Amino acid sequence: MNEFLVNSQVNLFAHIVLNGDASLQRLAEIYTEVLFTRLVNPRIGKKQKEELKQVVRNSKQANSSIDVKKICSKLNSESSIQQRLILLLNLLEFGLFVQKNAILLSKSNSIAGKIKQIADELKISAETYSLCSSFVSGKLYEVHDRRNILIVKSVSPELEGFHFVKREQIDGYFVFVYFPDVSTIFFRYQGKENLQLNSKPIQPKAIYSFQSGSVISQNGKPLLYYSKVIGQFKGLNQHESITLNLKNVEFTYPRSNFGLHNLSLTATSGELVGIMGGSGVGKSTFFNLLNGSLTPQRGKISLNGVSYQDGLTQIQMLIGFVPQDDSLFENLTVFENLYYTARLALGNLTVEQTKELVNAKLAEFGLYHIRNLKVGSSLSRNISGGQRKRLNIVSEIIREPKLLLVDEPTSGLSSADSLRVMSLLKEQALSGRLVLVNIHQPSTEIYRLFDKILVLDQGGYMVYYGNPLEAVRYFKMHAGRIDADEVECSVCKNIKSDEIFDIIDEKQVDEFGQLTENRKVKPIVWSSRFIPTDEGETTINPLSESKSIKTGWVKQLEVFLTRLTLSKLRDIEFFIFAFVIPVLLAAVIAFFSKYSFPNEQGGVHLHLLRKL
Amino acid sequence: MKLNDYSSHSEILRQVGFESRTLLNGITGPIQLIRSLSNDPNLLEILHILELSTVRFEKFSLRSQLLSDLLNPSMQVSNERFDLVDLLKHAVLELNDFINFFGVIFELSKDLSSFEVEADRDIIYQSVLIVFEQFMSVLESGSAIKVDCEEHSQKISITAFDNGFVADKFNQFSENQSVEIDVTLFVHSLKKFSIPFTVYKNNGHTVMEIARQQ
Repeated sequence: MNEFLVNSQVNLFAHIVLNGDASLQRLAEIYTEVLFTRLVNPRIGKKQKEELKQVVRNSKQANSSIDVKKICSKLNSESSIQQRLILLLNLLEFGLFVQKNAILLSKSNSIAGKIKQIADELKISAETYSLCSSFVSGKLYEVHDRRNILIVKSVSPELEGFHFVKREQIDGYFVFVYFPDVSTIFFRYQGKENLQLNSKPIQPKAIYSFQSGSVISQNGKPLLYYSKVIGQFKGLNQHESITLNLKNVEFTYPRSNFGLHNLSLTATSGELVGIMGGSGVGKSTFFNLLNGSLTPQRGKISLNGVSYQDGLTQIQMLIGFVPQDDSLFENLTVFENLYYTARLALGNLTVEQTKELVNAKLAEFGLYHIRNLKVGSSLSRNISGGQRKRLNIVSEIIREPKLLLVDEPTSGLSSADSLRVMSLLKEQALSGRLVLVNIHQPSTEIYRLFDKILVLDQGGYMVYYGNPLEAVRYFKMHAGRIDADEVECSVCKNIKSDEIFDIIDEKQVDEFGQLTENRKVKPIVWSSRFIPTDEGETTINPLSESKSIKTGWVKQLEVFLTRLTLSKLRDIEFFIFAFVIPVLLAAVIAFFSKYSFPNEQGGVHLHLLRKL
Repeated sequence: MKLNDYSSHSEILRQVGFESRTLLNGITGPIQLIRSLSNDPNLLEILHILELSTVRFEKFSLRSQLLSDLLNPSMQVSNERFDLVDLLKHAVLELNDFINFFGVIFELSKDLSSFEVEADRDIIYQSVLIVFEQFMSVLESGSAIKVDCEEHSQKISITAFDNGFVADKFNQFSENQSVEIDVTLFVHSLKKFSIPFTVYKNNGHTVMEIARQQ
């Protein structure tokens, strides 16, 4: 929450209580302090309480009302719909706090009416308002579209239409609400257990935003991941889901100790997994093992229980690999690049079907408006780096792979382009794929997108695999940091993911207090410290067949030749070298051949000159 | 409180409800603030017990207000069609904290099918909560409350082995004796919307049967 949003919230509270009695104003002060203490910290809580007092006092002294339309108009122009939803939920929670019950709140025209008026000014639809209201008040029986509610409990409440996730460890229960139009999730917990959201305590009945990458834990053990919750709302097809499993995988390059050691992990459809580590720690080797280019010397890699050894051909059909360097045809347009890739990969589609699919995919990836632009070379770019990267990704996505491996998708991109590319990859994960991404130094926004991260250390040792926010806590705890529970800045919510690598790479000091080149903790020690957490239940489905059918060799040849010809014809330099220069050379040679003859001194005379 | 006294008590009930909410706000606000400031598990446990009491107090306040509304002839109530079985399941979910606190078990039959009624949903929801709360308050830990359907889904039955205590409370009402606000609200609500019900003892059990509206 930024200062503008906090001020707006306080002003809206002031608007609601301005004409009320002293007890209502006192309640608003208490609630404001409770809210901002919970959202930010006690200092901000106290400050905003005083701010509210001041706003109400000033308005009363000036005998003026608070201009709600102006506040809402500014909010509409400067804040996202998600931020406006949070404001509305806080207002509804405040109404409930005052009235003590949803039924009484609905009967209270003064408060409920003012909140509804604010919702209208904030351009929040009646449907969304109704869902917010039912969620905050706990009157779930009022919810019309029950697909937007998820209950997490030890036993199913058997409520028709609601999603349900079983968690036997808890006595209480969670209610999650999903706003599909804005892809936003909030939750409320009812119970007495000591639970944490991203290492911060969860208060019963309070409303929390559940952002990408978040985790709810119980006594330090992960209980519920964001990916699990969003997967329920998005309705990922469980029957088509895949589970990638690596068990004690060991790979070393010949005559060296570099490679990967004792790698064990499980990842499932719907997850975006970040592979992090410095240069040369084995990130690319890891991808080469996963795409079947390399074979482990020990251990087992399997997809839905089918080992790579037994079903590599079938598995490879389900894998998409996007290398760091793009493989686009610079003289072809965006559309043509994707079209010919689709023609090669999808042998079962007609030309028209392929064109339709390509246009749809271009629109999905925000490339439709540049479909007729030539891609251009790396020196003379017609499309931006972010657009190039998206085109590369969609070229793999068009085959509908179940497992997508993306190598350094953000390298060389601006922060805005990086976030856009990563958001698209997150969307792909949420649509039911398993997406693995090699990445360096992600920003907070990108780091939050990951459902899991794999941290590799020098020599290819796995030193962490799990929730990204838990990773910060884990390494800070092992480094003996006093603020180990502080995984994100309490005010700005930034996450210093770099701190993980600072801790891993921490150096010893000599007797003079100078840093040495020796590390405090060796990679093998970090590796042995890490004990993977139990992932809970994983259902293994039979490995499905790839939706794409390989094109026959005749058609492949035709597509290759067409693409190559088109590409070459548009290459002016190539055209000159291939067609103009040979003709000119031939003409020159022919000229000399026809009009020259040897003279008596062993030289050459031009016949034409002799004629002259 | 006797039946013929209700109309005269309507205004008092409304005021009791309002005043108790004002008092409650003085307690629940600071509880939430303490929660925000402390992570001490022992303190959180104490706060939870305090909150359970405030929730009961909140319910008392609400139900006083609702009873006052029901007794007021000019008060408009909404009338909508909904599934009573669905409402029963929601009530079990909402009572989760109390179920854990009292240690009772809810057994909802798999045969329960849609049981539509036309009434004010909020008021009927409170009535359903009242029935379950009445049972929970007299049952021993580990006892079960069974919810089933009878006579080819023409009736819903709620049964528990409570030595007939709950049945006695409802009988007191029919005998015009003084009973709790909760029981009074339940009876008035169901009568208001013409939802037939019977409460009787059977071999140490209390059986409550709710029939379909005519």
